[in-house]
Amino acid sequence: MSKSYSLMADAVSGVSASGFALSGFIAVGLSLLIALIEIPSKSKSQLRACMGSPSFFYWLVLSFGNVVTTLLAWLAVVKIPASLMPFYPPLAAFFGVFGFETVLKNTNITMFDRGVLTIQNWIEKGANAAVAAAIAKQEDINEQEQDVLIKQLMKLSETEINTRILTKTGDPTAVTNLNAAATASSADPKLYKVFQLVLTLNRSERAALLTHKK
Amino acid sequence: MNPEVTMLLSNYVIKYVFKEVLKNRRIHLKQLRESLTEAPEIRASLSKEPELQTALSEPAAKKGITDAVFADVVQKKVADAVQQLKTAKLIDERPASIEDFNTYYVTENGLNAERELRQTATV
Repeated sequence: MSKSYSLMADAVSGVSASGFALSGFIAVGLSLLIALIEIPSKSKSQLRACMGSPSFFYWLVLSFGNVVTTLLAWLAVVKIPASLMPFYPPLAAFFGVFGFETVLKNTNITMFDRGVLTIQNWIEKGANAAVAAAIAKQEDINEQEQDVLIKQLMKLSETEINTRILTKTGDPTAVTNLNAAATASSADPKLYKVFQLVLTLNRSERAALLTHKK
Repeated sequence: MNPEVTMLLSNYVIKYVFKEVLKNRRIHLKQLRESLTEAPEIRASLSKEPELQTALSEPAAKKGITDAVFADVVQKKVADAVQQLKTAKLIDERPASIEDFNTYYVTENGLNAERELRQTATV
C-alpha cells in the first residue's frame, strides 16, 4: 500500500492542488449531466418527474464515485506530454468519469478495491431509487393529465370519438372491438373508448387538449 | 435475494408479467392481457390448463369457444400475477375508473430484484 501511495505521489508531483480541484469540479458537473440523461431515460419519464431528493442523492453518490476515479485517473493523465499540462484537469475528469469501470478494474490499490466496489453498489442502488421515484412521480403527472383529457374528450359525441379512434388506429374493427371490451368489463362504452383514445394521443395532441381545458 | 421473490418469479406467467412491467416501466392491465395473449410461449404453456384442455377437445368448428376460454384463463392469470407482484412490492398499482386501464409500474424493490436476477442471469 505504501509503495502504491508513493508511486502515485511521484506521478502527480508538480500538479497543483487547483488542478486536482478543477478536475473534481468537472467530474461533479459531468456526473450531473449523466444523472440528467440517465434517470429520465431509465424511468421513461419526463425530466420534471425526475426532480426530487432520490435523484439528488443519486447525483451525490455518483459524484463521489466519479471524483474518486478522477483522482485515480491522474496516474494515467500525468504520462501525457507536459505540453498538454493545461488540459490535465479536464482529461482526468473525462477519463475518470467515462472510464469509471475501466479505472476500477485496472487499479492495483488493493486497499481500496473493496471500498470502490461498495461505491459501485451504492451507485446502482441510488440509481434504482431515483428511477423508481421518477416513475411514481410521472404516474402522478399522468393521472392528473388523464383526468383533464378524459373530461375534454367526453364532451365529444360518441360518433366523433369513434371517428377519431378509426383515424388513429386505421383498423375498421377497432370500434367494434372496444365496444365488446367495454361490455365485457361492464363499463360505459363511450368512457371506455375515451380511455383508449387518450392512450393513443401524441404529445402535441395532449398539449393542445390540456391547454384548451375549461 | 429474498427466497420468496425467487420462488414467485419461478412461475412463468408471473415472471412474464413482471418482465413486461419492467420493460415498459408502466403498463395498463389491458395491454398486459394482450401481451400475454399474443406471446406464443405463454399460449403453449397455458394450453395445459384444465379449462383449455376441455375446450381443445371440442371440434375445430368451435374455435370461438377455445379463444373465449383462453381469454378467460389469461384474464385470471394476469389478475393473479399482478396481485402477487403487488403483495411482494415488486410493482405498484394506479387504479382507474375502468379496471382495464389500471396502471401497473415497477417499484424500487422491483428494480433491485431485476438487478439481482440479471446478475444471476435468470431474467
